[in-house]
Amino acid sequence: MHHFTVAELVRGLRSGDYSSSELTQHYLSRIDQHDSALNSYITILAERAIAAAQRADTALRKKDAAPLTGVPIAHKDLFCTAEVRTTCGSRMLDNFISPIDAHVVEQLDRAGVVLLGKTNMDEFAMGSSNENSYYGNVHNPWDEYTVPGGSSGGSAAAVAAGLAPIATGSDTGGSIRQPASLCSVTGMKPTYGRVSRYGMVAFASSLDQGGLIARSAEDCALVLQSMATYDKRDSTAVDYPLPNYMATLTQPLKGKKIGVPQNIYDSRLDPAVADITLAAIDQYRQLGATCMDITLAHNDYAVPTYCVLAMAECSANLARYDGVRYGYQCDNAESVEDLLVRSRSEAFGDEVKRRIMMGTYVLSSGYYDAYYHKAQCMRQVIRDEFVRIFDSVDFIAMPSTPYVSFNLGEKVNDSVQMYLGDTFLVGANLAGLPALSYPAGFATSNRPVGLQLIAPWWHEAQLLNAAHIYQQATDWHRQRPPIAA
Amino acid sequence: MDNQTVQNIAQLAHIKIDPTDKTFIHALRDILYLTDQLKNAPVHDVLPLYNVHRDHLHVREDIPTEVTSREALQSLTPKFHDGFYWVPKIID
Repeated sequence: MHHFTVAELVRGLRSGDYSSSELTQHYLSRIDQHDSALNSYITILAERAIAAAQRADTALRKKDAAPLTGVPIAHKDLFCTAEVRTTCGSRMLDNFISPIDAHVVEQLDRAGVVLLGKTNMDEFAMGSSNENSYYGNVHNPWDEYTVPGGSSGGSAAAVAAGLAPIATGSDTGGSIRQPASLCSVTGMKPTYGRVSRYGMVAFASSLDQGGLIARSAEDCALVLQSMATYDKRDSTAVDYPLPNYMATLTQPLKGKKIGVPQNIYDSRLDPAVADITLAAIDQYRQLGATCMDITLAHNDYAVPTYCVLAMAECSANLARYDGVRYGYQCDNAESVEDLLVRSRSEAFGDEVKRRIMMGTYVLSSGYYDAYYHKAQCMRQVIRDEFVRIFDSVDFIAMPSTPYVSFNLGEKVNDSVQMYLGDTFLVGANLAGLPALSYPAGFATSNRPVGLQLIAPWWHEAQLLNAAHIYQQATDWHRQRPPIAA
Repeated sequence: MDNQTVQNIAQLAHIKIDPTDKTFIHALRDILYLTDQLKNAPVHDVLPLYNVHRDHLHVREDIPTEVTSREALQSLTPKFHDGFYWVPKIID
């Protein structure tokens, strides 16, 4: 059953091929059997999931099912869940039980999902390898000695390993697409403002966007439909018409124009990744699309711009962790200052501390104009460049990452190398564009490569359509690591 | 970024760092070097972008709302007593 897509599971549950209880028990057994090797979950909710599955079975029997009734799911552990702890991968929130459900959690509950558990992640979503979690690193199901990517590494590893059919993620600077690429699954970052951030623990509020990690574009379409409802509780959510994603999934690509950036194919890109990307683009030509050369002239500024803005926002957002109102509190504080400083210093990991400090630096008097203001101006330049490009093309196709999965520990002490790995990803975040990463091949037998497709604002339907057509013509997304055999 | 600046920033950020932790401090300097690439950014006469959807921003009605109850929020604190958050003594 763990080979089935969500679309197949919905059909199987409705036709009575299996019950939600059987399906949920199957996934829980797999988690019990395999997750000690992967560490993809922080919290497993066996009893709660079985009870929810029994309720789903009752609804299915009464023909009173919602769109996803009985389908198991995992949530990245930054989506707040009432009654279940939300750690955000941090000691700071080790015992934090939110009084609210995130909008995403509410909507998917309403759609009938069964929550299996909450997945591991880099602390406060800061990282590209899932080595920054207080709960230990996650292993890539394709090779346990390599990283799954991050920060949604637990979600990507769980879906790739058949420990969840689908999982939520968040993407501030590539945190859905990068692990999706490294684990050979499909990861979707919607347009900024499409999915409410209400109840999603904040890292960089102008960039954070909830999304999905799944086995196929079709599954992303099916679940995004229930997740992307407008929510006025998030002041940056936009009440933009929500199309029927499934209705346009199979439209032919003839006449679609794909922009292919030429200036990114240099020595910084793994040749195997370049070859696979170009082969995938060639596949699109065969599917009827027209591919056109374009230039992303400002892409080299994207990572420095992202770093300044994300770190500035992180330092402001994480100032709320004061050891008083909620979260970790140190023992035997001698003064309020001691309580504040020691609580934060004992509970935050090194990468979070670095980003808070850099954010404090770029916002401080004397440096604000040189860094923060300049980065905001550069963000405008990058956005304008995408506007111009999308005047002449429907999509941009490029690699998700410049490399394949690397060994655990290999880059953990080199923050800059880690950040530069997001060089093809952060542009979509800075501009607020929707983007997908999906399997396009393997550099070696256990080193997957993902293709990234970026579309204009609010064009998720077109993006899912283009990825679905590719997935109908190829079988890279059906490849499974041995652990999921 | 000299050692004194690192300590000043740490104090502003309410984080204590070990001044002998060279790995941590070198990483900060490497990140600063990366962000210094913005010095050459082509932003002459460009206005900053503060929101990618400036045409879609909505303003909520000016009506007070209570999303979460006071009791629920106060139950999250590690130390709470008699309606107050407990912190170490501030005034002697």
